[in-house]
Amino acid sequence: MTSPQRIPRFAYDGTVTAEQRAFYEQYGFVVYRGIFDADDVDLIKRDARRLERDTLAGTVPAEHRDQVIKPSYDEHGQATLHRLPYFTLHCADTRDLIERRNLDALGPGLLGAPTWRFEDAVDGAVWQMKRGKRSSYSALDWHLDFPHDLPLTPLVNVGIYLDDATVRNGCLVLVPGSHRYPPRRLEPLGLPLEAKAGDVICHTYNILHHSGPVLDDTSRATLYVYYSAGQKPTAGTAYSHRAGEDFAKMITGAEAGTP
Amino acid sequence: MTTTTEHVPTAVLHLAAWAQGPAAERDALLEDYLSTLEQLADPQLLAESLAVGLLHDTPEIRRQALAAAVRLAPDLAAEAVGWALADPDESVRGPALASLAATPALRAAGGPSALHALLAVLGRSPDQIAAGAGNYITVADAQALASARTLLADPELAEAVLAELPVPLSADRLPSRLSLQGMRHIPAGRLRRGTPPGQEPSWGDPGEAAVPEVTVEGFYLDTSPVTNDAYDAFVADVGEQGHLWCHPDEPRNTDHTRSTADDPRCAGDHPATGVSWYDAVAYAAWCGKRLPTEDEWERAARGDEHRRHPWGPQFRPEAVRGLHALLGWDGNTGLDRAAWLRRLTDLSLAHLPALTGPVNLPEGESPFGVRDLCGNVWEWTSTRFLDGLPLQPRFAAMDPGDLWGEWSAEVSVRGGAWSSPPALLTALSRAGKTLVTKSPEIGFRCAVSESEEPAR
Repeated sequence: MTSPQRIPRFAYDGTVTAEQRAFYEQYGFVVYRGIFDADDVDLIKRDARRLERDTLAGTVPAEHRDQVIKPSYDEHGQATLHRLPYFTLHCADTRDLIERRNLDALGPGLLGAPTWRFEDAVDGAVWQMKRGKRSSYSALDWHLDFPHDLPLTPLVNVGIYLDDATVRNGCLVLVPGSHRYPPRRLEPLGLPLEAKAGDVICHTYNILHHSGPVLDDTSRATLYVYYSAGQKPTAGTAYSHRAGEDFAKMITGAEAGTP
Repeated sequence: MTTTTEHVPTAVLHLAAWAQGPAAERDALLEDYLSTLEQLADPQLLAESLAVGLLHDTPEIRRQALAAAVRLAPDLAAEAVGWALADPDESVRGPALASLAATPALRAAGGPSALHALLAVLGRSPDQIAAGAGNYITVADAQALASARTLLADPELAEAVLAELPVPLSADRLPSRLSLQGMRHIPAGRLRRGTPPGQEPSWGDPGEAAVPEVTVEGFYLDTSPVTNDAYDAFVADVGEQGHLWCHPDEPRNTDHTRSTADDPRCAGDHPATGVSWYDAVAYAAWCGKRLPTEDEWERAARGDEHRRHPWGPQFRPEAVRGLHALLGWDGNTGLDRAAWLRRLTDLSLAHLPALTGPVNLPEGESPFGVRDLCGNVWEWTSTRFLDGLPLQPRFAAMDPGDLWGEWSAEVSVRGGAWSSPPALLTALSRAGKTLVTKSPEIGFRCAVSESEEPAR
């Protein structure tokens, strides 16, 4: 797969321009370059290391621990986690950073309606790590994040990239426009979205997407923040992506699901 | 060839039924089969029995059956050699061809059909076959060439077969129309995509590209867009010679007539419009050229100085054909998108005296001498819009209506048209159009790689 050349990487100054919103509505995604600098990325990574340690030590409430992806184990039997839900609920520094960078304006800017951020329900903000070696989570098959008839919708998935994402290490691949028109091809043609650490990729909740396997030795972490213009559930409402996967399966005939 | 089972010997039926098993079992069956063939006197039954082996799934059985055919039935062997030429297993192809070259009886009986089959595989040029040119590198290739040379050495046979060869449905045998007349050379160089460094982006500029700078190889580009007269000559030629130049993905026998053919405002020296991307590709192939990539188009327009407009940094209304003369223009970038769209909505296109204008406007020349890059018509490129990679259409099985919304069917068009606001009449602006679109605002021009330059 060849690296894309001309996918626009927009600048973000705290407001969404009309051009950016038009692009998002047409294609279902938008790439912002360098919203977070190297220090910001380090701060989030520090928070992630601490939350992973606390989770493995059992000091995080059971209902806030991940139920979706199994841990991986290194050659010494040491567990590592791939998914940390309720991230901003447990990481105040990251939460403050997100607010300082004015990320909360992305929701209403892209959706055109007041939004609320996932915090204490539906898994909140979610940190995810993909690893190539000795990993239970390297690739994810075609899926939608949420079906369109959930009361939560419409919503936007805002991915903060903490490492470079490339075709080699299984970057996000999506089908532009599939949130408006279901793909008419038996094998939908995906567009790989490469990103630098500190970039932000926003995509609609109902766009068909997947991420390929990590083909090299690198690991790749992303913090996903969600903004919803739909109904806000009560705190502790559990997350399920089963419905979205079933819908994707209907389109592609592929077996969807998290390993 | 039909098989009359009731007369077929048991050994032949056993072999036909055998699919897999130990090699010893196969060899025993094969030995019975071959000795049975030796005893068959009825030519029809021999042919049917040989066919069982020649069409068997197992290569070893096909190979042995072919050898038996050469030995026992030269008439059938000639046909069998034709089958063997297409055999996926080279251990079958090779011996068949070697037999053909070495057996005078076989050449005499089946020469014409074998030569037909060889020419279909190797190409139609005796000179090329004699020279062994092309990508022929395997043992089977060498044997095929040797067989073809042997057969072509018989002048009567070669003459008869070559005279009978059907004219292929391909433009390959037609003389090339390629000429660099009316084209400009664009030397290899760097292209900085997007807004020039240090300049404030206009609303018509694209977002920063994922890869902001690239090298573009040298090439030739038409000085002006293809005109209606030139395009109509192509359509007439398709009418006479058939669809020889179409993109393989295009539905067969699609009418290439431009949708503006009946509009008297679209004069012969205006850029061809109302043509789809497939039409433009077919036209380019007709004259031995191709569509430019988006990067080539942009480099030709911006030059080594990475200009905003082909002529320089500022918009010059007299250098571009556009509606700004009619709808108003107030400054370097003119009206914003919403204001321009409001004015276009109020416009009655049917009552405009002209849409496009004559090509070859000297005022808008680029640093490389290319004209009409901005304004008049958007121009098709060979590049996919969203990611800037080469367009690779595979939509033949899809209804054209299903292409709307299919991102991979969107082609990058460049330069802005007679209907575009000044902010889009630049060397930077880009838009995506579905490849089946036929619009009075979209035309094209052609390019040629340096490597394709005809010998002078």
